[in-house]
Amino acid sequence: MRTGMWRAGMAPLAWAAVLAAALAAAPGSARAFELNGFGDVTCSDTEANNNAPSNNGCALGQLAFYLAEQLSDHLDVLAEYVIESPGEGFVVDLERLQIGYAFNNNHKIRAGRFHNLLGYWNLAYHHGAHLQTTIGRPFFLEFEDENGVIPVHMVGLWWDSRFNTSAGRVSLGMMAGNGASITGDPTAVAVGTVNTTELNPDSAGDHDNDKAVSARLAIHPAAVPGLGVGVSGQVGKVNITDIDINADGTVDPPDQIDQTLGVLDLEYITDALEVLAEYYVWMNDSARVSGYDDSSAYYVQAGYQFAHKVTPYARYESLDAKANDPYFIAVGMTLPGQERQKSITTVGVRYDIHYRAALKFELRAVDDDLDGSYNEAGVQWSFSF
Amino acid sequence: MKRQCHTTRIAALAPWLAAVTLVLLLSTVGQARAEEMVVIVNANAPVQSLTPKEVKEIFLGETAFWGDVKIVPVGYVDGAKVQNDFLNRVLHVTENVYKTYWIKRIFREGGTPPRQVGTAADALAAVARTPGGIGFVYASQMDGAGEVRAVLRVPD
Repeated sequence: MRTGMWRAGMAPLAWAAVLAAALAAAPGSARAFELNGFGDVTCSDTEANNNAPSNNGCALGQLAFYLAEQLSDHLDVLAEYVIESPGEGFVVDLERLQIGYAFNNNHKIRAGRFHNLLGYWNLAYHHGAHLQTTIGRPFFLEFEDENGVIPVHMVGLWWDSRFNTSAGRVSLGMMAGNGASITGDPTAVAVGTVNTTELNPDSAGDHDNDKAVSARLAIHPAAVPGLGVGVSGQVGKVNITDIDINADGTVDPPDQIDQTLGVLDLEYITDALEVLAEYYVWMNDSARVSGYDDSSAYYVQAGYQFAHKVTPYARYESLDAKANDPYFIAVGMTLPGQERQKSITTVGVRYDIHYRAALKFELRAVDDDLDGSYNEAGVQWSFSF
Repeated sequence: MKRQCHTTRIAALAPWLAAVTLVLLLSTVGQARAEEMVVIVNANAPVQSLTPKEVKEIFLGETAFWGDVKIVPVGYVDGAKVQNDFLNRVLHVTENVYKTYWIKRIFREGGTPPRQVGTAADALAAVARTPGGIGFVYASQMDGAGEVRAVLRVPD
């Protein structure tokens, strides 16, 4: 995810930072820590659609490095860098940097930049393509700079509480931090040809002073091992800056959207079976635009692993961005006056060569009001180290 | 005459064959029987005993403190027999599943996995010198153990 000051040109300096981290972990270092990471190579073949010609080729996925270190009995830090290609060359992003203080087994506070705790997928997998069964995330959970519509990062404070009860494990997390904004090219939004807008989590500072708060309550009942149910949400103001979405004269652009995002997630994960489901609903309230319904999205995914090696899986994901929802117009997901429904049906097989490497083969059928219907095929070799 | 000689030679070998078979059988039985394991803590650790569930939560990172004392679990290098036995019998997972668990956990929320040592003597020493130390050895390896206490015995 590339935003503001967090983006740096891919330069020897970046590699030097990574190398320094690796050297620090070398024997003989006064303070050793482990450098871990994820990476993948993905090849795909996409049919032509209404807005793009057919395309095929291979690409390097995100190369993520992360470091975790216990500074003292109660203090720990976590840092994560990602090297990725936005199209030309490579950039290095500081994805996460957080320092935490554990009061005891039940309560912990962190400060820094985090993965937003909304839903299950975002915290569980994020840049770890190898951790997820499928090649990619559900499309509506993409990163902010890849047409994502969820604020998947937050800068601020994170309170985390966990309790073991006779009924099961209960966890409650709360984040408070900089509210998001939307920036981009107004002409592109109005014409609707290329989405150049971007949801920005305001990582480098909250220029509009509006904060966002997100929270998640999750329960893992003792009676059903492997089951988890979570309810989460976020409230905040999303400021739309530098965008004149009224360029075609159909919709008055809101300067600010009062947004309430609600999420319900369910996971059932055993040694072999994995079932995931999440439902998102956006309640976007603008003083300048009215007469639109709440937009929503969901996915359901299931997989079953045979012999600890082969996992056939399937996923259905769907987004319904309502007509004139100012938030979805501003992020470039819809055009003024148009509703957009998009769904993807995925079937695939994952083969775990080793617990640190897997091959994934996928077929996807896309049905989109904007782009039309088309198919995709993909192969990914993911790994962790 | 020739057949008789052959039969005589086989008869002469029979006691030896029986002895070898017996030795092989006994060695197989010895391998199949698991050794008793002992979960140990530092002698000053503020716990008297632990349940298998409590030990599991410690080695999964879910329990990190005994009061104010930071718990420091000690495990073994990859492939160690005692480690595999412990994971199978107490945590009920394979080594690969356990390592995958820690990859996910560290990525999601930070923290550090159990320290890794090479031998039972190293484990005993590490637990003895760490106030919140907790580790595991076979019961037969407890001879001469220093400042450690057994808090859980995992039977054969």
